[in-house]
Amino acid sequence: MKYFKPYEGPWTKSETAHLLRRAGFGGLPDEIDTVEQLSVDNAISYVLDYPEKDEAYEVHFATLRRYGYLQGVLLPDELKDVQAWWLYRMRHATHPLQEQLTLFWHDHFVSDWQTVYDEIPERVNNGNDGSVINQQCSRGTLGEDPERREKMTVRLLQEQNHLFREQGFKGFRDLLLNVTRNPAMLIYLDNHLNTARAPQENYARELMELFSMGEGNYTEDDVREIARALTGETINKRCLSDWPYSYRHNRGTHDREDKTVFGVTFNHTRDIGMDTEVVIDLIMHQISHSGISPAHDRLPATAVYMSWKFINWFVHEEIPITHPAVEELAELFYENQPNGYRYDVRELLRILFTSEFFFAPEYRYTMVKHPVDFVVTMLRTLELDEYSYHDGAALMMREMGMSLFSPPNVAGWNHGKSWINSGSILARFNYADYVSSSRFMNRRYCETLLDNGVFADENDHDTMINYYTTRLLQDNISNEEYRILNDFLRRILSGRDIYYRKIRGLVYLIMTMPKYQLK
Amino acid sequence: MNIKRRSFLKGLSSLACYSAAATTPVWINKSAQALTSFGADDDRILVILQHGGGLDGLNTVIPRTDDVYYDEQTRPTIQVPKGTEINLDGLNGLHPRLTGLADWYQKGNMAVVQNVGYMNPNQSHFTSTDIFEYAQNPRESLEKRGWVARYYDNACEGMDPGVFDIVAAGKKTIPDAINGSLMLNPPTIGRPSDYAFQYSDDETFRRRAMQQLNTLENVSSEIDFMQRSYNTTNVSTQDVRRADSLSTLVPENMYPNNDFGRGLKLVSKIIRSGFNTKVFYVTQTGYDTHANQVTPGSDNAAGRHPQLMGQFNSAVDGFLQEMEQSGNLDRVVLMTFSEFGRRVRENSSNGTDHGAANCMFVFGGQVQGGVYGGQPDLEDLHRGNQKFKIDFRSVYAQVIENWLGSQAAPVLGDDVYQNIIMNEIDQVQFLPKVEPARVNRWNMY
Repeated sequence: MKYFKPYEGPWTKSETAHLLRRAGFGGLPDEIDTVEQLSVDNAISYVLDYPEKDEAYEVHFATLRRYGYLQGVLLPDELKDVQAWWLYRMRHATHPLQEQLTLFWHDHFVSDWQTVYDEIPERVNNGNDGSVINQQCSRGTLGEDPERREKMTVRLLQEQNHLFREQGFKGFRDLLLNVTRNPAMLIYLDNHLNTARAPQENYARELMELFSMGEGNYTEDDVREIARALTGETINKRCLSDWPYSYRHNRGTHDREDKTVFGVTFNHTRDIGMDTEVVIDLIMHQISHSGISPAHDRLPATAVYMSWKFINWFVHEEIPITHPAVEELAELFYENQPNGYRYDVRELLRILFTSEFFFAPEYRYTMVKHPVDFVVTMLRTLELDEYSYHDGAALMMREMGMSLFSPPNVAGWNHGKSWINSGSILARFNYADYVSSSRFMNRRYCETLLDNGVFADENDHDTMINYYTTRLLQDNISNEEYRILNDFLRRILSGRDIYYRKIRGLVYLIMTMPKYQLK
Repeated sequence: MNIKRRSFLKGLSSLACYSAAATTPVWINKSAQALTSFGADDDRILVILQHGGGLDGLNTVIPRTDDVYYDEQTRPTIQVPKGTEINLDGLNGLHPRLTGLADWYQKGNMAVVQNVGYMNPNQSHFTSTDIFEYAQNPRESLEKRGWVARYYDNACEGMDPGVFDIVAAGKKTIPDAINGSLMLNPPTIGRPSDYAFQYSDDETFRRRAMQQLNTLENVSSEIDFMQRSYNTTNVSTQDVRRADSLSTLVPENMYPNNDFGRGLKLVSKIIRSGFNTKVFYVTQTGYDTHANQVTPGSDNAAGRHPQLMGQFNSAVDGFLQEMEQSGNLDRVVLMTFSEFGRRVRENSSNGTDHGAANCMFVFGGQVQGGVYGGQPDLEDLHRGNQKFKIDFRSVYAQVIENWLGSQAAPVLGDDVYQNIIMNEIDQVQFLPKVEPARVNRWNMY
């Protein structure tokens, strides 16, 4: 093992800061110190071994300020709300890696707001004569009421979001199966319309192309046959309850003939939903010999593709699938079964974070922060709360190119340098300006720092620069950078609010520095 | 190097923002000075309009004398009913919503190229879009430069790039076709009114510090990239503010109130402001009509595709009218493309699945209007999809050579040029041939 042997290099604040940046949203100074005292294994355990749900956090979450001065229970009922809901979670999560990983899965298993909203089917019921009719159910129908449709969309997307959060660190095989049957996904990629009489290939194609194996590792015949095998996997459209859009397998629309996928013929029609499970298992084990990389001759395409995606997310965006580290990780992902099953995501991340490859100097501070990183790092490391998640962070993040629950297409977002263009730079920098305004870094925040002795007085430039760069960047800055920031502070000599302008300006300049765009 | 007077003056206006700083070689290297130095006086412009999602070409340009199209097995619900299409040349008709574009056809300013595609058609949005944007199989080349970026780098080698030479409008991300140039980072402009830096306080001091931070030397390549991105943005915000101050010449609502409409409207303003931008890129999304492409029983008047057709018609018509009224029509070519067409037979959701060969539109004052590429063959299909007759790169080559006056072979590949394009380029002569003398003059640089 070359890349993923356990890291044995220096263990300093530089390393722990790097870990907390990549496996989270950046660490506070105390946290960086505490983790430095731990062994490498315990440090990784600290970020990685979190529970499915955090009950204390759920209770705490029940109040969310919508407009900054209103307290009350948030009822997410439109896209902006559910974006705010998730951002708030990310800011306050006890285990930020769980949110970072949820975001990874959201980017991987895409379901977007607008399509789900448009495609939620009408509820149907059986007439007395057995015909299928569209009518008002006694418990209400979706109909043309846009408000109700919005609420349903929110609920579907939140349900999917929780699936990623709670199951995203367990086994990939079961996750893929649950995503296949997830109502939001069934609607987004049309599998609820996939029937024996009129097969619909949309999900079958993306299942392999984007969600597991990657393009080039299967044939068009495989797509068609998998579509046939997935017929009948749909959602409940009857007026059975107030929450009709749960998963259901419809035997009536399932294709009863033999299917042949990757040369394997099967037919488990009699066993409800078993054809789907066979497809998933075939996808987990299929070695494609596609020639895309040497790994594709030895290992299942799914292991290679997914390992590559994890490496791109946590180590560097530009590492190609042909890099030997991908092959090494893929073998570990497929073969290791410490908990009794392959494709163990938590254990894969443990190997990844503990490795030489992860701590290699050439990858430190070389990835581009995505918009969530940009916003949430600031909120967490400055211990601030967004003034209005709806109208602040969520809105500006859309301009930065990342609208949560609304990726640009089924392939998710483009990462790395793609995040940086003139439009997104303006969005980032103008968000930084909004943060550095009197509404956000308000007088109380500023004065508390003085009262608590964090800064001696308004001319304590050294401490100010150190305080903000340590938190926002978790790293040293160069002498030139220090001189430029100090120069800025020294120029603020006249007018009102000198102290406030200094630290607000400092936060603006650091958030707009080239280095802050990286992680 | 010979910089034409007009370009030099333009360069001066943006230069004014940087006065003293502009004399520092370091600054010039990092900031891609706003000097545009394309040689020709008529300053030809290419506008690329992407139809995102897979345009259903068959319902856009209808083969009105083809029985297969009207057969009850083909598109019983979603067909454009016979007689409702707008007759173009007897054999082909336009979707009924494209009334404005039909007028441009009658004036001879619109060309349709049919049966456009490529070998081994790919039905993934992702991959097929890549193929159109890179004009080479991305897997065969690790070089991530879009075809427009390669054209630019080839045509402008050795010159100083202008910040505004290539612009993406109505976009939040850089389209791959214009990305990766070794010389510049094109601005991507969303809403013009949002396209400015805001400073809640101490603007002068903050800007000064930012300028210093973004011109530091001896930095990593990632930091260098960030610096250049900031500097480009800084210059382009001033250019956009100037352009956006113009009013439209046609009713503003001809441009739909979305990224596509806003983008094309801004393109018009930038051109009319006198900027020397060479290539623009805009996108109209929404064409992936697997379901509800046409509302049943509406005679193709309602549904996602008709709605998109209405917006396409209105925006492009408005744009061309503005070009004509401002005396710019002869300088402009607008070319559309989409990642693939759609399947000939409709599916069970009143829509169509991914197809292959498709049509491309070309508009412009110097375009030789007509229908090129022959008629679609709806019986000789491949897995239910139309086969291609014209490689899309031949269309690109036509534009590169006979519009932009540059060489297509270095951009699209010598073997592709010799083996494919040379055989087809005569079938897509929708632009008048550029004399060799002109080509030489532009390549002098």
